[in-house]
Amino acid sequence: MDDITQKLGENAVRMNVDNIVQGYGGCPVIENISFSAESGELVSIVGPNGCGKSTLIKTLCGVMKPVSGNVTLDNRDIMKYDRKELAKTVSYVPQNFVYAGFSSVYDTVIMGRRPYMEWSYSNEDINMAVKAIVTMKLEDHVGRYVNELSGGQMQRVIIARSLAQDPEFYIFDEPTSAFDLRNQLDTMRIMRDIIKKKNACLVVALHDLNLALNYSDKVLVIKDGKKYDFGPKNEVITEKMIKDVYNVSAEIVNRPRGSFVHSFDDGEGLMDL
Amino acid sequence: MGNAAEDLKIILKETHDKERLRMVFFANTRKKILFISALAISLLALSVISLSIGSVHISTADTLKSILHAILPNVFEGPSRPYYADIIINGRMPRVFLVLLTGTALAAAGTIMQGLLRNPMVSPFTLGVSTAASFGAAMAIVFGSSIFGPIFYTKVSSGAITFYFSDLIVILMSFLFGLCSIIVVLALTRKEYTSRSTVILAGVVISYLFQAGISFSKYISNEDALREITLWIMGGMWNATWGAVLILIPVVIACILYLEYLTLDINAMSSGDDVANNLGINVKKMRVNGLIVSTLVTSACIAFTGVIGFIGLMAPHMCRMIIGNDYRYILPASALMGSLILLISDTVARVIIRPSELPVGIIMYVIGGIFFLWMISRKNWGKML
Repeated sequence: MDDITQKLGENAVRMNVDNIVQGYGGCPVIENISFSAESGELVSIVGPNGCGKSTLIKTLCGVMKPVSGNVTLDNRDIMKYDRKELAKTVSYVPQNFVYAGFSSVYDTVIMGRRPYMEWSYSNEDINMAVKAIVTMKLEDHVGRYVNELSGGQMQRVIIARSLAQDPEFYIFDEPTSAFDLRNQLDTMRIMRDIIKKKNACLVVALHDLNLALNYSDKVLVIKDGKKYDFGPKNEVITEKMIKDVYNVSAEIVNRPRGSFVHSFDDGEGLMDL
Repeated sequence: MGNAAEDLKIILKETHDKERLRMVFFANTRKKILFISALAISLLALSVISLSIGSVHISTADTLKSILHAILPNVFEGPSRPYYADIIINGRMPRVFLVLLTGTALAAAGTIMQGLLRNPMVSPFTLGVSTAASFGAAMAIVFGSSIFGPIFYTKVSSGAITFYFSDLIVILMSFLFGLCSIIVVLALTRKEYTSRSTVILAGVVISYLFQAGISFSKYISNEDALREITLWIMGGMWNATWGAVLILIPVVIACILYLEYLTLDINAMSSGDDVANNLGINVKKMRVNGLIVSTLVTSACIAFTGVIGFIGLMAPHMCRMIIGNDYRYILPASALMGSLILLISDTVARVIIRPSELPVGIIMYVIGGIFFLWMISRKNWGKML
């Protein structure tokens, strides 16, 4: 990692997203979105349901090819990576993790080592998988089938898989949606620590503004598939933004241990019943 | 001070956990290899027993002697009665080989299809590949001679082994029709709204369609061909000849090796196409290739045996229950398991109504049908449909 920091400098831009247009069947879902992430930065993507967060996420990790625009990682177009290389560089955690199959937690986590191996797991592969399992507190479930686990446990398995993959860029799509409070905070903290330590980047779609406010460095706000704002979290997450984007009245409350969004029901948006 | 002690405790606990987890990993791998070896040994033993059973009962010692004598005539002496060797080598051995090859092929194809389509209920039989392939074979049998003329009956003999040109045509036809059904399945799974049960339903309907075709070919065929096709459709090992077996061996081995090469990527498929893509796998290409090779290996065997159902469903699941879902191990294990199931069933089919014999397909329908019902009634599996 050190060589990358040396090469690129302390606050180097590692991920650059330039004018992305993406859509299904000729109908654009996201239009002209640009942002960038520096090394060691956690970028949150927030926006209402259906605004194109997941589509953007899939484009960022190369699962979907953009209609126009490009994503560059360390000054290299994502489409120019070959599959194996990209798999070592970017790791993707999907939102609704549909699990079908009968693999144990162990098998699923160690699958993250697929890009590094030819046929059998090396000692390092096993160590990385074990480390990821311990980090995500899955020690007691290693032998169980993934489809027997609860939603939150399943999500932890897939995040552990991503940690075992040991990439430079973590792209997560609502990783905490099925978590309880403890796990939400733990996961965000662990991820923040990991990327700071590795000088990696985490781009994460979140629906919880409080998590975005407390853990991210920068925030990208999307409204109807277009960029609403991008910048440092305190400048972006404002009462005006919440009113504009979510049509919700809210107040940003700053406390010594962190800030939170206090939203309240102002009766707007309700229909006559 | 207290803090340092706490930290040390945490570090020790973590190290202990990691060491324990590493041990679990190695123990699991050992268990898998042990299971596969045990299957291989029992399969070998059962093959010898199966060879010795028949209308002429030959002792196990004589069976072994006949085989060893045939391989190394200078080192091992022949069986106590010379004609035993002929019964074993030319009578029973092709049949046992055909059973082993068919069991391997169907179970391996089932395993791979389940992994590639992420659907625990698919197998060559439930996807309609078996019926489609046997329709193709039936067409080749009924119309082959009128289309190809005398070439169809061309044969090449070397020693006791005879290769028939018609065998190749039959394999080719059954593969082509097997492909038809797999193309329908592939087209269906491209659509996002297709559920797992829809795929199975489509397989059932494909089976009905080709069943109609088989019935039609029965209806227009003459008295002799009718009995032959009827018996053959039931699924049995009557067509076992060395010629057939020697065609099948390279096909089956090549296909299994290719499928084994895919298994690591299939492991990654279980978390979804997008995740597999992210792990550096070309999902679309692998799915198409894997399904085509599975179809090839299935239809090559079915061309000789007729429809034998449920092996591709039972064998992988029985292995999964024991060694988990790492496809690198599941594929060889279920191939061996499939051979074992089919070998036992075929041996039973041979002796149950002695001196006559039962088509093994009937036995497999009964066992497999009950297994299928039991399986879908279980909570974890039923939930996934």
